[in-house]
Amino acid sequence: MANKKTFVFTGGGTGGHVTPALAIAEGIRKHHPDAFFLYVGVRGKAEDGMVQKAWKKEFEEGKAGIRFVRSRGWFGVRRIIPFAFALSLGIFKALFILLSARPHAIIATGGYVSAPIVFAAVILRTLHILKTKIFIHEQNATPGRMNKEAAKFADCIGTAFPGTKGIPQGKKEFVGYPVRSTVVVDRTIDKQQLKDQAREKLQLPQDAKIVFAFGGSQGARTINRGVVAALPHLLKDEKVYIIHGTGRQLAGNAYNGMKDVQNQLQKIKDSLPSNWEERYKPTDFFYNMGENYAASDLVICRGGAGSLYEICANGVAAIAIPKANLPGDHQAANARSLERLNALRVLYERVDISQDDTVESVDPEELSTLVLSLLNNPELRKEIYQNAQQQYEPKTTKNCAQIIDFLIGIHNKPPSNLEPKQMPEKVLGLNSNQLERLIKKVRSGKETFSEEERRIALYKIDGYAAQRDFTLPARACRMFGEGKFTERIAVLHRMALDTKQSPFTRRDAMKGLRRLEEANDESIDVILKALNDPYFETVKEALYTLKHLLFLHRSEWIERLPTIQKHVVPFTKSKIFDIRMNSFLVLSEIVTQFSELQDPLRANYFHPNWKVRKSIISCFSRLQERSIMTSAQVEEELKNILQTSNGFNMKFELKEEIRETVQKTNQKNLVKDLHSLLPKNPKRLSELTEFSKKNNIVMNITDVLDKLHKQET
Amino acid sequence: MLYFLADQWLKNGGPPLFTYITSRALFGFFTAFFLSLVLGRPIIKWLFLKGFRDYPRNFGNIAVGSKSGTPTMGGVIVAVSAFFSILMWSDLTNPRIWLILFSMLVFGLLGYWDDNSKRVEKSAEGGISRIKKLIPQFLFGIIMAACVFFPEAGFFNDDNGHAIYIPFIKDPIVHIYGGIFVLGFCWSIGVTNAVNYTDGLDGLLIVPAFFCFLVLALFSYVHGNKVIAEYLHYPYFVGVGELTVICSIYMGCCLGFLWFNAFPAEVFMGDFGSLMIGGVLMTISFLIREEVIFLIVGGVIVFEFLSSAVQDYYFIKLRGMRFFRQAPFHRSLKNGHGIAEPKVVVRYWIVSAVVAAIAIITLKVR
Repeated sequence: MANKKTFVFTGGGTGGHVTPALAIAEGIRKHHPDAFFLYVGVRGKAEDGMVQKAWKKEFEEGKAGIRFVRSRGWFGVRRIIPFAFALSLGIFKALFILLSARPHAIIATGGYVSAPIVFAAVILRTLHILKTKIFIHEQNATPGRMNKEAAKFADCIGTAFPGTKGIPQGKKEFVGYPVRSTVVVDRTIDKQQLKDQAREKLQLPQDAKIVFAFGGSQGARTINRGVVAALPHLLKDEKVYIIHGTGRQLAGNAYNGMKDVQNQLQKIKDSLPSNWEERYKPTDFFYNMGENYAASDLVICRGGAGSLYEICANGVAAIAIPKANLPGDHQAANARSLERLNALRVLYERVDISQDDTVESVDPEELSTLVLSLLNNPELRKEIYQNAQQQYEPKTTKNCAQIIDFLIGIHNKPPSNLEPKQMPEKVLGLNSNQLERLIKKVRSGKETFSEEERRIALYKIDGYAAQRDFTLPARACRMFGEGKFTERIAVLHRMALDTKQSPFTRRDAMKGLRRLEEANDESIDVILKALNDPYFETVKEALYTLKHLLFLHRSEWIERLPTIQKHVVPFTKSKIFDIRMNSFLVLSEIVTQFSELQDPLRANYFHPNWKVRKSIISCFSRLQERSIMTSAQVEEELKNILQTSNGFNMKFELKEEIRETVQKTNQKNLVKDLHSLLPKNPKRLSELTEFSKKNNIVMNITDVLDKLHKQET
Repeated sequence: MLYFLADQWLKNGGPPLFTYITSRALFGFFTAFFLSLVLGRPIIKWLFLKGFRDYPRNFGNIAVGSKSGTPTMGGVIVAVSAFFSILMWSDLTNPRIWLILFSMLVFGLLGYWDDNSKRVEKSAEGGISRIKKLIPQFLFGIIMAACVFFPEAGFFNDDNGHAIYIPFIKDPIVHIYGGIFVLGFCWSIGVTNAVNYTDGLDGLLIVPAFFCFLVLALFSYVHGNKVIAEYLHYPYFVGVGELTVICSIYMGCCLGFLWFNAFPAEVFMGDFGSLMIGGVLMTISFLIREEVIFLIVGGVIVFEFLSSAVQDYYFIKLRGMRFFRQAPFHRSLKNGHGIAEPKVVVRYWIVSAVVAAIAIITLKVR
């Protein structure tokens, strides 16, 4: 038949990319009952089994097919050769697949699996060999690497979450998340009726408050452990019932959810009420998710796009615990996107390294308080699930099919969905470098964090701190300090002494402690231990931190000063000059008499490195400030120091002139501003003061104001 | 060009002065030196107006000690004066001259690409990636090796094309045959990058490069002169003497450029200059088969490169720590130890003079 259409579907690697593709296929099938569908995937991945199962009937009727190509995820520059090899082979094969199939449109749902087909199509299109349209569906709130690249070439990109970043505006179409018809809930039936039926089936009391927690088919340790640890609190309320999906152990996966839950249960058994076994039911796998959704009042789940939209479709209030350390923080971004529409609550997990293993956890107390507060507030819950229901767009598959029809030119452009406007997220989606810059800005007062943003930042930094890498944990340590995350002081302590961490991390843990500017008794012990570190920069930073903390908190540590002094004195003879310098500075904060410091300082009056001599002089000025040395004494000592040196600051006189001139014009503008604004708008005064500070204007603003006032009056 | 005229004049009974290699080297030196002095200022102005400079971030807050805003890509001064002097004074029938000009073209373009992308990005971070730099360097290395390997190219008639010589030993220690190609691209990538790394402070590269050209001029004269080569037990390579002219022309360019580049610099050479000078040094030392001598005389350059490579690829990437306070080593001296820039630079000059002297001593001990 000449008019028979062909569509190529691709996407996969994980089930999360395959289901939307299958859902869109269902939508297209309704418009084109005779069309031929070809799924292109990678053998042995999720799409292999899922597509065979879903399209069984169509395979028999000869209306669908499946082909396999090679492809590979990007695992960093070091694995570039296998990546390039697999991808080029994949593209080569995809060229032949496309040439023989000659599809009218290609529907890609992301994942590296879709790379060969999309790039092959782009090649054929630029050579004018094949006229095909490319439609991409992005399920997450931050696009994956593959979709970001492919978006440049695609004709249209459908997004599931409002405010998806990083996609060219003109091609973006907010369509929602395509859900297969078998999953969709019939909205015409009364919700309460469904609930009652489901509860009856599950043999749960009608008036119970039911929490349904699950972490996907393989289970999530955070959710499993968090729920078990929160049990004692939760079950105190007589009416709380918990359905818990622990997940099944898959081949090649080390985590066994059920076993873990049983182990954790053993530990807390005694603190549970007597009838707990009735009210808490861990199960490893559910065949009746729909019933569970219907029966429950509250759901606890991960932040994957699939599960979030399932929740929206079923209309339940939910708490999402997004997985940390994912590319682009996509789970957190998904969850946040819904939370900002008040359709969800988000709880952030904390990643930590303990005993050579990364462990993600949520604070059980936080979890139980949040759960109980939601359970005991039906109005709030109703508001949340109604908002969630609104987010679910049942026509998504139809929309996608219409857009594809429009692309291949047999349908008018369907009206665009209204995308809820959202302010761009400040913290999520940043990389570690950008986050560090942002935190520095916050510290210096150029930016501000809301409570929520601070929590997200901390969640991200925790994630970095737990990575096995040289730079990220080190950067995390700096950010803990820079952002004044005092609650993580214990982490800094541990990092500083952990010999398994890289030297950079140990050094930056010291930097972090310094920037934190707060310390407890343990900090002193940690710093003194860090002085024995084999890496010179760590010692240097430890001394500098000690100096800074002593400067701030000396009076609180009076009784510990002798121990500190004893530890620091040997470093005055260090061969590494910066360590020597810093040890002088520390001692200048400690000593009570100049005679204690006299000998180590005098030994260095002729040190070949002028920086050492400079630090001696700053010691003097500090001692003078602390009125331990008199000015006569200082003068006497200064006479004996070698005063010539290798270092100087150069100064271009021409540039100085330029700066002065520019400042003069700035000053003039400022006076003009003052004239025009004062005294009409005194609020601007603070802004102007800021401006003058930023531009190094030495003029005293108050003087100017006084003059102006006099003129006015 | 002038060589051609002088040659014709000699055939018609003119004086032989202008055809000798030594005298042409001397004339070339002065031509290049004065050309770069004359061209320096207009070129600096042109570069500034074209926007080849480091942009200050905020004009109101301009740092009085910072060098930002200085015109860069001053390698143009070297390139232009060297190019015209080479056309004037060298024997253009010698294929070696064309290989040198080709290397100037390749590495100059590569450097221009880098400098220009920095200009467009308005940031020192905006240069081209390492991989993009490696490809032309690699290809040039292969071409250069092919030139010395195949006798048809007219560079070496005998098997000296793939021989490795080291100081103090008369005969080649080994013939590497096809291995010359591997050596070729390694040498090309290594030396040009090393020179590029060294360029960091005012005059830090140009004077060591001057000494390198000086020593290479000596060695190419020895290799290219039958009498001296025999006397000093060096292999005689026909036609290599012409490279002396090139070396001395570049010596003139280096001094002329130093005129403007001396601390505090009025112009930086940029990647254009450093890659091009690196390319020429590398080609000459390869063509006279004296790689080991270059490693000695360019000791400063080699050390700078090694310090940077060891720090970046071993200590920071694999160990998560630093060995030098900063790398390349001159930054450690300047920023870590706090030694003022002119002092660091002059100390580097002294060291490079000493290693040049050592390299010259090896000339007689054989």
